[in-house]
Amino acid sequence: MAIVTVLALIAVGAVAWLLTDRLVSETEEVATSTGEVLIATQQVSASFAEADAAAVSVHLAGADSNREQRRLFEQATDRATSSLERVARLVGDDERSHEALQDIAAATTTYAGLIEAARLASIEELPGADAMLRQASSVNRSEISPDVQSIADWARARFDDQTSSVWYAVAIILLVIAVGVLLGAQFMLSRWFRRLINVPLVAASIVMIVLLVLSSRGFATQQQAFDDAQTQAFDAIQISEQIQQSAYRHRALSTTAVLDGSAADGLIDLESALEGSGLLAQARDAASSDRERAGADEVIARWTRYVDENRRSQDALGRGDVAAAEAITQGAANSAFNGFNTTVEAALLDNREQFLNQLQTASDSLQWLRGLILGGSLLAAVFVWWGFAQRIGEYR
Amino acid sequence: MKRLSRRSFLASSAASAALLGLPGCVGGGVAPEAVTSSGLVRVLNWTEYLDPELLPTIEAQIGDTIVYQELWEDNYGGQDLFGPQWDIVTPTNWLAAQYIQDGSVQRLPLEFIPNHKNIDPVFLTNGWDRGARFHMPWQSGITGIAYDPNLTGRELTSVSDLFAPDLRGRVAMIGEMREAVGLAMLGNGDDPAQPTLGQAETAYAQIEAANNDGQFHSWVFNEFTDLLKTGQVAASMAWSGDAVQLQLERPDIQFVIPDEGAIQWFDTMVIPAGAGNAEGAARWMNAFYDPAIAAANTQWVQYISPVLGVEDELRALGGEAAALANNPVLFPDDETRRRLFIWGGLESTVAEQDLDDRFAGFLPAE
Repeated sequence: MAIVTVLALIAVGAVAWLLTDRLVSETEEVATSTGEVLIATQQVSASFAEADAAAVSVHLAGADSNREQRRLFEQATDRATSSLERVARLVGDDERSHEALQDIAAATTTYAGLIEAARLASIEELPGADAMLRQASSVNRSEISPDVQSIADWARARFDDQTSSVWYAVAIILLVIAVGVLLGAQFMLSRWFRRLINVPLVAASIVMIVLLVLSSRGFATQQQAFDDAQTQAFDAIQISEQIQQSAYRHRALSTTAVLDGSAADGLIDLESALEGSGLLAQARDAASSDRERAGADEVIARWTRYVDENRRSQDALGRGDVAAAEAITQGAANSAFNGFNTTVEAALLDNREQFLNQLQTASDSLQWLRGLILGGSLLAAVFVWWGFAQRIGEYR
Repeated sequence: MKRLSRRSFLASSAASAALLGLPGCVGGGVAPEAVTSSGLVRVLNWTEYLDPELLPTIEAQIGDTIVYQELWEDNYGGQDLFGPQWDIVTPTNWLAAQYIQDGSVQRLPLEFIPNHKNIDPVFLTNGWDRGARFHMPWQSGITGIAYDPNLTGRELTSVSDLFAPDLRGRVAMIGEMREAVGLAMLGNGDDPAQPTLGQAETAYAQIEAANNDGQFHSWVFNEFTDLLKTGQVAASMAWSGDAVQLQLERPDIQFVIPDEGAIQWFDTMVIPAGAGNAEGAARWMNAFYDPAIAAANTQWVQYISPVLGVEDELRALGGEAAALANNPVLFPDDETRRRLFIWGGLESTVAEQDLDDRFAGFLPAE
C-alpha cells in the first residue's frame, strides 16, 4: 500500500505539472501572440482608415499644400505597415493568415500607388485625381479591410479557444483525488495499527490540501484575468475600433461631398450610431476606471466639436458656398477631427496596455504554480513513505 | 540662455477681470493608488511666464499650497534642475519628448484633468506622445523673421532672406538648433516635422557656410529685440511673443512667417517620475486649461495659448484683450497654421545630440 500511495502521489504531481505547464504555454501564447495579433489587426484597420481620410484632405487642399495632412497620411501608412509586419511575425505558421497578409501587401501597393498617382495628378493639375482617390478608398474598403478582418477573426477564434481551456479542472480533480487517497491511507493505517494519528501522513495531507487551495486560487486568478482581458479591455478596444471606423466613414463622406460640391448623404446615420446610447456611450460604459472614463469623456467632447464644425461645412455646401465648405473642411473641421482621432487612438493604446497587462497577470499567476505542484507532490510522497516506514518499523 | 522674458508689456488689469466667474476645475472620481498627493504643488517654470496675480486664485482652486519657481532659464542648464523634487516642469517640446522616451516623466492622471479636452489638436499629433498622455502644453510660439523695413529697404518674405547678400553682417540668428536648422530646412523645401539626418545636415552646412562667410551679425536669444530696436541689425530670426512686445514700442518692426513656413515650438508641462504630488500637478494643469484662466495668462505673456476657447474669452472681454484676439501672431488663421511646423526630432537621438553639440559652436562662449 505504501508503494501504491507514493507512486500515486508522484503520478498526480507529474500529471498536474504537465497540465499546468500546458496551461502556462497556452497563456503565454495568448499574451505574447494571439492577443498581440488582435491588437495589431485593429491598428492596421485604424491606420488605413486614417490614411484614407488624410489623403482626401491633402487632395482637397490642392496637392501638397496641406503638409500636416500629408505627414499624417505618411505616418498612418507607416503605422499600418509596421502593424502588418508585427502580425506577420506573430501569426506563426498559420497559413491562412500568411496568405491573407500577402493579399493585403499586394492591395497596399495598389492603394499607395493610386494615392501617389492622385497626388501627382493634383500637382500637375491633370484630370482624374478625384477618381483615383475614390478607387484607392475602394481598394481599402473592399480588399484590405476584409482580409484584415479575417485575420482578426481567426485570431479571435484562437483567443477564445486558448482562454477556454479546461485542463485546470483536470489538475484540480487530480489533486482532490490525491488528498482523498491520503485521507484513505491515514484511515487504513489508524485501523491497522490502532493509532489515531500518523504525523508524516498528516503532514503529507496538509501539503496536498495547501497545494489544492493554492492551485485553485492560481487557476481562478488566471481565469479572472482572462475574463477581465476579454470583457473589459478587449471589448473596449473593439468598441474604440468601431468608433474609429464610423468616424472615418463620416469624415470620408464629408470630404467627398466637398469634392463633389454637394451635401453628403448618410452622415446622420453614422452620427446616430455613435451618439446618444451608441458607440461613444458604450465606450464610456466599458471603462473600468475613472481614468478610462475621463478618456472616454474626452473622446465624446472632441467628437461633438468635430460634428459641429463639419455641420458648418455641410451647411455651406447646402447654400452652394463650396469655397466656404472647403475652407472649413480643411481648417476647423480638419483640426477638430485630428483632435478626435488622436484621442481615440490614445484611448486605444491605454486599452491595449490594460489588455496585455491582464494577459500577463494570467500568465504570471501560473508560473509559480508549475514547480510548486511538482515539488509539493514529491514532498508529500516523501512524507507518505516516512509515515508508512514508521508504522512498519513499529510492527516489526 | 534663452527666452529670458516672456512677459507682456500690457497691464494685467484686464487679466483680473477675466478671473471672474471661474468654473470649478476638480475632476470627479477617486484617485488610483499610484497617483501621489502631498498638499504641496512645486512648479518649475521659465522666467516671467505666468501672471503672478493668478497664483492665489489657482491656489484656492486646487486646494494645495503652491511653491512656484521661475528658475528654468534654458533647456540645457534646466536639465540639471529636473527631477522628482518638482511636481511640474515645463521643458520645450523636444526635451519633453526625450523625457517621455527615457521614462523620466509619468503618465498624466487624466481623472483629475477634465479640461484635457481643451488642448488644441495641433499639439496632439506629435509622434512622441499622440493624444498627449504625458504632457500638456503651457505656451507656444512661432520662430519666424522680424525686420526693420527702414534698414532692409525691402520686404522680407522668405527664409532665403536671412542668407541674402544685401543683408550680409546685418542678420541676427537665434541660438536654438532645432529652430535655426528647422527654418533652413523649410527654405530647402524639407519638412522639419519629420526631419531626416541628411536634410538636417544639409541645413546645418548651409548655416555654417553663411556663418563663416560673415552673414550673421550675432547669435542671440531674446536679445534680438534690442538689436532690432537699436538698429544694430536689420533682420533677425525672431520669437513671436517677443516680437509682439517689441512692436508695442516699435510698430514699424515687422514680424513675418516666411512663405515656406515657420517653426512652431511649445513649452509643455510634465510630471517628473516619482513626483510627490501628481494629483496636485494634475489639478494645476486642469486649472490652466480653463479658457478663462488661460486667457488671463495669455494677456500677460502674449504667446500662443494651446487652450481652445481662449480667443473667444478674449473677445468677450473687449478692449485690449479683444485686440489681442485679432492678432494673427497669437491666433494664426488656418492658412498660416498650415505653414507652421513643430520639430519632429531626428530618428537617432545620438545624431541629434551631435548636431546640437556642433551647433553650440556658433554661440558666444559664456
